[in-house]
Amino acid sequence: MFKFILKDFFLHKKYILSLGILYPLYVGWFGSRLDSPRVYALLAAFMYMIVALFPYTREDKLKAVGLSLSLPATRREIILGRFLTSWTLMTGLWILGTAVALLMSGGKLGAAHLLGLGSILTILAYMTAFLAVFTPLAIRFGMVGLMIFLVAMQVLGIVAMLLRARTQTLKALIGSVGRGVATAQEALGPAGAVAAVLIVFLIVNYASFELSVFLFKRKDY
Amino acid sequence: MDTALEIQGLRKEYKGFILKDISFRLDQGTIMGLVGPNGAGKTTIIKLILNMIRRSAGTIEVFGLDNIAHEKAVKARIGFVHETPAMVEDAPLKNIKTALAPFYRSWDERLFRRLSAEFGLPLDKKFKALSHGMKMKFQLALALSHDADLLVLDEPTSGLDPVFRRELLERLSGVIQDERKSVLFSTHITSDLESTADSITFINRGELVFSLPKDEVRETWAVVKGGRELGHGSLRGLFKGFRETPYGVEALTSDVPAVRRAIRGGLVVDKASIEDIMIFMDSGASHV
Amino acid sequence: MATVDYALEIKGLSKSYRDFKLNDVSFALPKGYIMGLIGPNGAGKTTVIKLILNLLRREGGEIRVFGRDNREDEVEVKRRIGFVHDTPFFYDHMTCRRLKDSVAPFYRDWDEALFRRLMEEFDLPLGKRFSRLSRGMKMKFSLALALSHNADLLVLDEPTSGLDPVFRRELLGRLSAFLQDGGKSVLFSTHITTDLERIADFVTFIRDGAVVFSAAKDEILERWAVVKGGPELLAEEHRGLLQGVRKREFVVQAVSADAAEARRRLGKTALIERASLEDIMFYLTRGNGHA
Repeated sequence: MFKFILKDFFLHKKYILSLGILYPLYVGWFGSRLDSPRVYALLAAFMYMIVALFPYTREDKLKAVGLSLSLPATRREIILGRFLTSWTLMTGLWILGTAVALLMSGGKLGAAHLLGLGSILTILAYMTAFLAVFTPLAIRFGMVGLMIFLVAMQVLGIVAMLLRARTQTLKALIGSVGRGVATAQEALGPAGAVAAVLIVFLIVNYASFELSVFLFKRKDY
Repeated sequence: MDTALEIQGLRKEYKGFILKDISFRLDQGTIMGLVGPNGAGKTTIIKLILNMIRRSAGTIEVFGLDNIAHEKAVKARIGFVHETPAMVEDAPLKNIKTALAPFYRSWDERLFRRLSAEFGLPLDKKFKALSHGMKMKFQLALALSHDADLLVLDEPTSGLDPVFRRELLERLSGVIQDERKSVLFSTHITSDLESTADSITFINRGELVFSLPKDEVRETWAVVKGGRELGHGSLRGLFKGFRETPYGVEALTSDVPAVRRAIRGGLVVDKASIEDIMIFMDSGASHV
Repeated sequence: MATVDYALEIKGLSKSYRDFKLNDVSFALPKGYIMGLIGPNGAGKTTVIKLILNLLRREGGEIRVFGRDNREDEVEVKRRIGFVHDTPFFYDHMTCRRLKDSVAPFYRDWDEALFRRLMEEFDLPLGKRFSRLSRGMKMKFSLALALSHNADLLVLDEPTSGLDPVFRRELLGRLSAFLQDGGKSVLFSTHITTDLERIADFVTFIRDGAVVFSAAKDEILERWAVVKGGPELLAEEHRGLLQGVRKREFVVQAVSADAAEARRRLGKTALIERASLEDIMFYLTRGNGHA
């Protein structure tokens, strides 16, 4: 399966390398300026997920999916390859971003926060959540659909802000992931929290994977 | 002779278009030209072979294996050359090769290098920087380097200058010198077929018109020249299409003996070229 | 010299780029005829066409359209030229009607009635977005625009590329009809040489930035022949007669610009066949005896 990661890397090398430097720099810089670990985790996870999906949104735009489909691989394997590549990218970016945040002096979020178990688990949880939601979305609706979705979310956010009343619900929804991790830590202790998060990680990824395979298999290219 | 590709009762339904009852066979060691007007269904058939779109009914067997049940095994032996974009355009050629090669057990790196040199491929350049002909050659080099036994080319000669076109076709003829290899290519440049194809499958408006060895096509189809009576009454059914000329009427038939039986007297009967067949069968020419 | 009216005269045209040079290109298209421009990709055909339309600045030579210099009288010249490009550069999201509305005002002789008639004949709905048209329909639309301002010279760059034979025949028929009116002329570049054989009066072959020949089509097809035979064809004495020699194991193939002489000298030992335009192009580009 390693060949899938290699394939995506080599086909999109220039973009992966440039985004792979820019995004961690940006996120890391933010990380050295923020004081809320949760917001940092949210930002990092979201940005890295965008890069993780990048090879596929590009393929969609260039109509290059035919290339993958002409290779001797089942559609299931192709999706598995996507998940592997996405996680490899996200993990790599995460490490780089953390390094940048740590290196930048005067950071309010110190090593304790960035490298703390809570922080790591929170980012992992957010990355899982975002990837799980956006991968099938991207498959079903393509890059255009994804853009529309993201714009719609922004609009919703603005509307929510204006309506004030709704703000809590939206925030609550997104915050629930972070709070869930914190709760797990408190209730189960560090080992328990790790186990809990890992279990959720496996379940959510698997569910998203199966959904993505289902959607991908049904699509005519 | 062994069969490289066998298609039976293939069907695909779209909202405004139906491909139906497509059946034909490609013998190993031969070149088949898939021909038909734009929108006839040629690309649809090719996409169905590669399972890029799902079929509604029918079977497709490549080297005796169902193309869906044995998707991996089948695709390992097919080399595909696309006409329209299906490539990550701004990757350099060598990166594309590095990305794709690991998927093929039979990848021959030395062969790829030799072909690249022969074709004059600038491996450091991005795919989009290549001329159309070079893009074709690159894809062909990739396909040949994993020892594909079935080459499927979608409109490979479209947009190529005559020189490149002839070279490409000569190259394809060279490929099947190895009798294990077979070629299927779609085109609407009918002169390609006359020079290169062993058999011709003609698709029109989603249906199979014929799938025959090239010589048989020449013997079976003809253009009959006469007067307006060709389009009327009992004679009408003998013909597939008509055209009016300043001198009378030309009609296309696939059954010359029947025509001769039905019409006494001197008839001018000319062999029909593939282009003639295509033009006569176009909707506008179906009546006088 | 008899007074021939020329639609287009090109003399000593030159233009250099970093890795390509157009060198001393000269040919002429008499009024009322069709000329086909052929040559391998990168030979300079599109460059020549762009120079005619003054989309590129020429470095040397002359271009006269109906007797006028195409740079000094640019507006007048362009008024009389209808241009059809192979990849239509229109705004995709605009409808045909809007595209027409943005183009028509530039032409004094715009004929709205003619445009509508052509659109109907071509079966093109005015309200349709350009991007939704098939390739063939886009081509037809471009042609309708080009014909509707009563251009006297139609210049087409690869109009038939990507079109199936049905469309191509239609297009060629349309071009022939265009010429019925004796004052009109057509210049078109193409890769589909069989189309040219069907319809062109003159053919100009460009290779590596230079004109190989420019002559009447019938003359070309009569004078040139494909010669196939054994190694004896490689003999010194035949050097001047045979061009574009290709050797494949024991078979030698070449093309000759003097079919009659070839028949005389080699008729007994070699196969002498009629050369198609594609044959000539192929041998002269891929055979020996040139860069």
